Amino acid sequence: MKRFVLPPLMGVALLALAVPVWGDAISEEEQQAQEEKAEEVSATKQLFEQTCSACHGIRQATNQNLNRADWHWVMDDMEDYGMTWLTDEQREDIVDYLVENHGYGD
Amino acid sequence: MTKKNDNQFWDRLRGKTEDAGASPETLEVFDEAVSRRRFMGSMGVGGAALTLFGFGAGTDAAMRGLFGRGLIPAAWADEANGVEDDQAKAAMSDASKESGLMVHNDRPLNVETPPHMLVDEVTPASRHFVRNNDLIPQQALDRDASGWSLKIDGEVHDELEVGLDDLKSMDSKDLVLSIECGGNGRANFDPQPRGNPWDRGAIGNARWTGVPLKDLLERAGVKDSAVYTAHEGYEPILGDRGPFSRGVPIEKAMEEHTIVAYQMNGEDLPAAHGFPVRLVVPGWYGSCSHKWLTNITLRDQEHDGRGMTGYSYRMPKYPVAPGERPPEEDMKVGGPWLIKSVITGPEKDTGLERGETVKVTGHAWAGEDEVAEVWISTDFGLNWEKADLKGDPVNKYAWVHFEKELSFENRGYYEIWARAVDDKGNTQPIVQPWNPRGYDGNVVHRIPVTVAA
Repeated sequence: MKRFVLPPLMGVALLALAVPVWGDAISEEEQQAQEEKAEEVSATKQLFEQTCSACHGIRQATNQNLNRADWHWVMDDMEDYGMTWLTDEQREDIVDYLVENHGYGD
Repeated sequence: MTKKNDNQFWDRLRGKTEDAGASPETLEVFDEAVSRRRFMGSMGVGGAALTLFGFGAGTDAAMRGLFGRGLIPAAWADEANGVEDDQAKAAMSDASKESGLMVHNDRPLNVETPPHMLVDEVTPASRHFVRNNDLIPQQALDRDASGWSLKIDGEVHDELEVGLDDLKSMDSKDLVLSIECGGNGRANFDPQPRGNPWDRGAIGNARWTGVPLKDLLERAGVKDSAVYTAHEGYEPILGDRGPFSRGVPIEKAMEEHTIVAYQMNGEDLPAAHGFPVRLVVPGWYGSCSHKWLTNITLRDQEHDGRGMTGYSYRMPKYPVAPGERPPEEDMKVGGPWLIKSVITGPEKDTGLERGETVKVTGHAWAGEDEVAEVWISTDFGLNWEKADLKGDPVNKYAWVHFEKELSFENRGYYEIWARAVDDKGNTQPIVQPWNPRGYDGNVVHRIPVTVAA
């Protein structure tokens, strides 16, 4: 299957290059970790919203509450319906996001 | 965004894509998409909006190429054109939808009626639920019926094509018919299955005017080989997939209440309800009642269009444990609908005084069968009292109305439960049996009320 890679989000790309800042090591590292986490979540949320809203309203997904297997089932169907541009990693990120925010368990 | 920046963006993006480990095939698709974008130049829709999303311009063109249907990704086009909200709003306004309805999603538009708004004996368009798998045709929103026709082909002796005037000149019927989404009640399943979490209100009971499908099929001449129908409309499809197309056994198609309808409650069909013409197949999953109808094909086998196969609108051949997905070959086409009822009053969480009389009202319906009785309980099913049925249904497949006066002598929390029984003795379950996609939900309806001290 052909996969089209959506542009990597700039925030993520920059994070990969981020260099720890010396000084008050613990608190700054913690702070940085939190910021990175927040940016990753926000990047995944954006990827989810952009990908899914290519065809339908976001609420088609967010009004549901499914486990991991079911979200994968949904993604399988969406791939059949033309969602062919995600990498496996991007797909997994979106499923993680959905299970975390609109789902339960694994 | 200038042309120069545009090109720089794509070059940079291609580099990043390659660095991310993209396959040669992916890069090929990428290059094709980019060249389309560059070619389309000023035609690109939503360029300004795309930059807001951090994608840079051109992604719409890429998607257009990948989708192959001229589909513009909604969110991006919307940012520029406001298409999404506008279509949903236009459809809601076209049908005079009232506030208080529950919108599950606006693209596709899916709208539910809360139980207390189902109180009318004949459901007005302004309160009738809307379930769409795809989009509403713009022509329907424009109320433009020019060029519309219904074609009947497949296992018939003579293919038939009728225009709107032909159709309206044929003998018609006025029937009050319930249409209910196959997923109505899904919200009461545990665990929640995939799909819109319809609670109680994906049901309507409007008056429909149209020509019995039987008359049209007989005009075309039904071959002995015809066993199933296949329905199609002219609605735009979401995503890169075939048209939504369900069907029913030929016996149901020939049943006299299955009609090709061009009026709802005495007026042209609203866009959201299928303008100019829809099928109404009462008692079966609502998806059989195809809106914006343009084609009916008779098949010599069970129809296998989108919505007929896999797990869509299909039920397990045997009861399954909650959360269990049986193999695909163990599924069969779902429907007709089961015995069911809804309490339209009092509204949930109503506060009552001790000794105050409250009238419980509601409707019951029974798929292919008839409603025989409705029972009410206020003590979690320990005791049941019969409600009064207000006469026979207007016609077969219309719902019947029930009422029962109650009063509570003691303070506290109560639930009013309603449980209908059909003429075969089937009744509604107290606990919802489970299936993978949440169809046939008909668990007893419960209305919590509180009686003050």
